[in-house]
Amino acid sequence: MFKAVLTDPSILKTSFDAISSIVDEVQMQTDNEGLRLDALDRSHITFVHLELKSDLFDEYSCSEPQKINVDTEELMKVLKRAKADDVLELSLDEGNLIVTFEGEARRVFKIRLIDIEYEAPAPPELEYPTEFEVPFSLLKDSIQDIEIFSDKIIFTVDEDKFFASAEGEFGDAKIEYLHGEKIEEKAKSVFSLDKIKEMLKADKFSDVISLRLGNDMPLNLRLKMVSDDGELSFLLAPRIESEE
Amino acid sequence: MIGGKTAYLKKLTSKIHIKSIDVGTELDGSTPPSVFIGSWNYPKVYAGPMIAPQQGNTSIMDMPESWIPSNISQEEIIGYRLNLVRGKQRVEIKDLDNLLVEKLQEISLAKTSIESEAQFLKKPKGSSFSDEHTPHGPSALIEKFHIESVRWDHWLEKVFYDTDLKAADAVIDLHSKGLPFSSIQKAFSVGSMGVEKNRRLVPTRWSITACDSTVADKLLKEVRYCDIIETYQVYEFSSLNNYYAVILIPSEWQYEWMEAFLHVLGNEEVIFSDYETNSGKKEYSKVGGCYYTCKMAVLEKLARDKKQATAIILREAYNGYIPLGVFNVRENVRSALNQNPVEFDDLNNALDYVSNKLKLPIKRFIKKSNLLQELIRSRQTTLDAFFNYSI
Repeated sequence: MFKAVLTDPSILKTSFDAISSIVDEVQMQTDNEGLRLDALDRSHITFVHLELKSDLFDEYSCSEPQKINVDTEELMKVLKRAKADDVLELSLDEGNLIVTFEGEARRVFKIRLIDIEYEAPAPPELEYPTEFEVPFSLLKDSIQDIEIFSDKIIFTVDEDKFFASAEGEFGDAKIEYLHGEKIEEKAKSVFSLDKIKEMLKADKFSDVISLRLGNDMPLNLRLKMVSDDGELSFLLAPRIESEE
Repeated sequence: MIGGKTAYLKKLTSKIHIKSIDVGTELDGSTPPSVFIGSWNYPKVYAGPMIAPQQGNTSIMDMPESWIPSNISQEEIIGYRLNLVRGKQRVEIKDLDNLLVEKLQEISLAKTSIESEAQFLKKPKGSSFSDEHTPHGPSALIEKFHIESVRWDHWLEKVFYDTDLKAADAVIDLHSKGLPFSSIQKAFSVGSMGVEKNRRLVPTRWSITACDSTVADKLLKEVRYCDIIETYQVYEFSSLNNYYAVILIPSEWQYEWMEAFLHVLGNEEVIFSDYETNSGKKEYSKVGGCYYTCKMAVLEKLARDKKQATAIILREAYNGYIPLGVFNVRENVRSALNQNPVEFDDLNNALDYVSNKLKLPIKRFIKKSNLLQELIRSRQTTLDAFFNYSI
């Protein structure tokens, strides 16, 4: 038996805003510690990890571990229907994920569970030379600045600053931010702007983004709740410039 | 100085002087079946049937799908087309109760050629060549038009009577049933499908692109979720003074179409190109309908194989080339993708191979390209190298 209640549906909604634009189907795993999800997109470019601990929910019970396989687009269509003051409840029956919105009225949606052949991949453990934080809004704005000239974004970090920049055919753009962390070496990697935009669709998860950056390494981008009860993180494969 | 592609092709088609068939004001013949809706003066357009002055089965004359696979020469194709006499009447696009339009709808649903009789106001004159639609012969205003009764295609008839089915869904449905593209497009152009109140005539050239992009969009939704191919693949095909190379690259869906016209008019060497990244394209392509038709043909192949790839298509048109309509691109690309590919481990080797087949140095294509240039300059890696996962 599985039941999870959230008085604030926006957490799930914002998470799936990003997740549904990256993967078309996912396996959510639930046990008594909470709900988690690991998924890799079909092109193997983006990995997404969501963890919502049982403490985050206003009511949570999961008597035995469950695997919930859903079409993310269908789930997103339902989550979009949530109103801000609705209470959201997740539960399961034979073959369905049940999403209930309790507000002015009680609205019940049953989303068919699907067959997924894959076992969720485990997140890799990578060693990063740098780790720092930037405000969510700053990165979101930077994306829009960069977009003027390029569809690639160059992330650089040195002892003092974090830079987001672009070199396009018609112009260049550069955003500088004093990160205030102790960083000892410089790191630089290039990423697809579109891919970063997909991740940043989760704009209500956290005000702060934690970034780990290396040289031509995947970007580790983490959104962490202040309460530590929830985390949405991504790993994005870099673009690599050719030698010539 | 040649401006855009439209200007270039206009110049090209204006140079074509081929005598079309000579007929009188009365014509007793057969329609392949074929209809033509002009775009001039939209929304009050010239619509009408196309009729060949001969009896019996004329279906080959308006069945572009069969020309390239059966190796029909450019001369024969032009022969077919210039034999088609276009009758026309001015019709408001929403006026589907018009008696002529009703007959055009019947023609568009027909399974076979139809015996037809037409009386024209004047002797039909001229001919029409364009890069978008297939050429046709002389035209004249039509006064009287009669067709024999005819058997309808089962699937087309079904969508004709389904007045709740959206036109886009009908097109997708018919394509998945394996109907020839030209049959779907004809029925679409005469308002034989779609939600009842939205039905209307659609000019032939627009209807071709509408059908191509409707099918392409649908297929792309499937292809986006397919696994990426493993090698660099080159598919080729040559016909009708054209060479096509389709390069499939192991990366997520992106698409670039490049076409070079070499010495078709004189000494010119011009390249036109357009592209889209994985996030798609918002504006109408500056190279016109061939962009969508090629995209459709590539996605047909990828969807069939349940694979995803980046597609770069290079086309060269040589002296002797005559614009025959976008079908030419569609069928050549389809034919290329029906061949066995030559496979490579990296992009440079694939490009080296293609450069030996092209007449124009490949550097010229690269210089003009957006996507290809970007792919050469940098590549999107995958997480595979960093990951230990089991799928």
